[in-house]
Amino acid sequence: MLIAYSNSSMSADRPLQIDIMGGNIQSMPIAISYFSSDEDIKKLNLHKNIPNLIANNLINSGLFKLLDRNAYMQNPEQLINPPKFRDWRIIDAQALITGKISKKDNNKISVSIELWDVYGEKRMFGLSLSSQSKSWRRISHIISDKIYERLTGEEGYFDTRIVYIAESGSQKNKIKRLAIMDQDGGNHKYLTDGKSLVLTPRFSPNQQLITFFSYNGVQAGLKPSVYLYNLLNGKIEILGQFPGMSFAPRFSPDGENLIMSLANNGSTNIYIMNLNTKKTKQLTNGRSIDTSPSFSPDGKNIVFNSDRSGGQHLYIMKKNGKKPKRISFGRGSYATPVWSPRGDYIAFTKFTRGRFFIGLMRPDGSEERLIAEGYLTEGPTWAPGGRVLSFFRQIPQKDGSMKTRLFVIDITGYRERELDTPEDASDPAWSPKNIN
Amino acid sequence: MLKYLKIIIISTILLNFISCTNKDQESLLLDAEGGNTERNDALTEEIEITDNTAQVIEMEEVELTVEERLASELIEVGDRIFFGYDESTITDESAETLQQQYQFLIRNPSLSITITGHCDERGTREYNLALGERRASAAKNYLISLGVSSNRISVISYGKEKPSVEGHDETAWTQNRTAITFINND
Repeated sequence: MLIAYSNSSMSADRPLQIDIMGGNIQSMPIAISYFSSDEDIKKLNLHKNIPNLIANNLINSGLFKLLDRNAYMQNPEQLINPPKFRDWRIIDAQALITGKISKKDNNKISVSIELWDVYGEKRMFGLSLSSQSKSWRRISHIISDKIYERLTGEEGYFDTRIVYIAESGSQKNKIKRLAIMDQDGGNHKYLTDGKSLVLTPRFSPNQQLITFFSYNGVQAGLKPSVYLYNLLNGKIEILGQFPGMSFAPRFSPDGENLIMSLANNGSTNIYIMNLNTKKTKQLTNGRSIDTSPSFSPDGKNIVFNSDRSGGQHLYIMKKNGKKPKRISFGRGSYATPVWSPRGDYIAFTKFTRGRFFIGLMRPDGSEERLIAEGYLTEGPTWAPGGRVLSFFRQIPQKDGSMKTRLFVIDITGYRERELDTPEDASDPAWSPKNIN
Repeated sequence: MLKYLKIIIISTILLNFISCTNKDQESLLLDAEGGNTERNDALTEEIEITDNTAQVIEMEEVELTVEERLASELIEVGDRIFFGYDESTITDESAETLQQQYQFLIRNPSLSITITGHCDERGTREYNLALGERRASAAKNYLISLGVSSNRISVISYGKEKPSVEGHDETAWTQNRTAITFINND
């Protein structure tokens, strides 16, 4: 097993880097100083808010431990100059993040940060960003991504959002609304009013569109269908009317097509729709239930869930529907496969012996392992980079009711945490990286 | 002081809608025609008074609309069939219910219906949407095989999203694996 990070006992020539695939859960101690700034910025508290948000992101990854600021021997103003590394080695900081905020015209601020390898006594990199001061959260997320990328070698996922289903009301009559928030719970807002039941939102690759399933229009005689929500203008569009129900939508990696299921007369098959022409093509045939399709990141293959062999299993087929091949062979039911954006894993939901699990396997079905479980855990979604997932879990309460919450876990399965949401939450979908 | 007074016409459907009994309060059941306490009789009215000093008893006759009468009749006939776990097979018991529904549709030839398919919570959302559709379609196809015209029947799947019964145990799951027939209001 690989070590969690290179530490002081190792050569200072070696780059400071965490191997996030290491099962070792020892986290890297880092120091994140408050930033130096003038009094105007201090009034807005940004000299503390920005480093705090960066610290929050890095700690939430489970890979870093923030050293107590009371123990820091140099203050932010002293850190305008290169740090006295010895002062930071005393508290065993492996890495140090320092920063400076200055005010520019038109309510703009400029934020400069530097990342220091304390034992290597080196500046690892510096970054300067400027934007409106009200965009301080985004600035912090972008900085977090850069630091994470530098320290882990993996793609960051902090400058992203999560769309999900917010749930309220009784079990028999749940109100379900589309809601969206930053990955850390910031900027939370509802996108639909809850009048129609909505489920399974998913982002488009350019993260401006959300496709979802809704019962909107059922009173008026429409079938429950796949819809598009445009985040730029809030417009909602139905994607065609079919003889039966259309559901389980996902975008193709190029954003040009949508794959989904159509259920009619007891059979459910997979279709692909060209989003420009709105033409559909049937990819699977037969009397079975073929659903939850998900494209491989290269767009060449589709993984899906089918009961064609009796039980529910995972299959891969070519994007034209040819050469379906079963990849899951274990006990229990396999469902909701989702191909990692990196292509190396397929995440899925598994139900066996009365419990639900989130699992991972290689695209050929090998190396299956389960990373999370519960009374009901369901619906994995990948963060950009393919090393972290979110899913939802129903948690039985003492009074017999259920609490439903979103969770984040990395592929080692060691670092799981709950995401804060204002109420019950399900069906998370992680956005691709924001476009700057 | 009159705290709480409710008159319930017993037809199972209305009982389902109006059930606010507070078990902690004293409750008195009266037969509207006599004074006998009587339950489970589809023809009696049940007056439920949860006030031990009630002096005024308000009585209100509820006139059923045609739609309500038909809905109530369908429920008496049997508006729903049940399924095994992850199954959509029409059992002998379900077949009997569907034959009753067929007779009902013969008696009321102008009616069209919607069959909703439902699943227990022990499955994923997407698979259960498909399974609910399969269950509702199984009921629809059985009615068609008996002679009901297919254009009188729509199906809609709610998967595990709209359980008829609350709870997270086998009792609730059994009740929630259903296909339920509703009369269309049009």
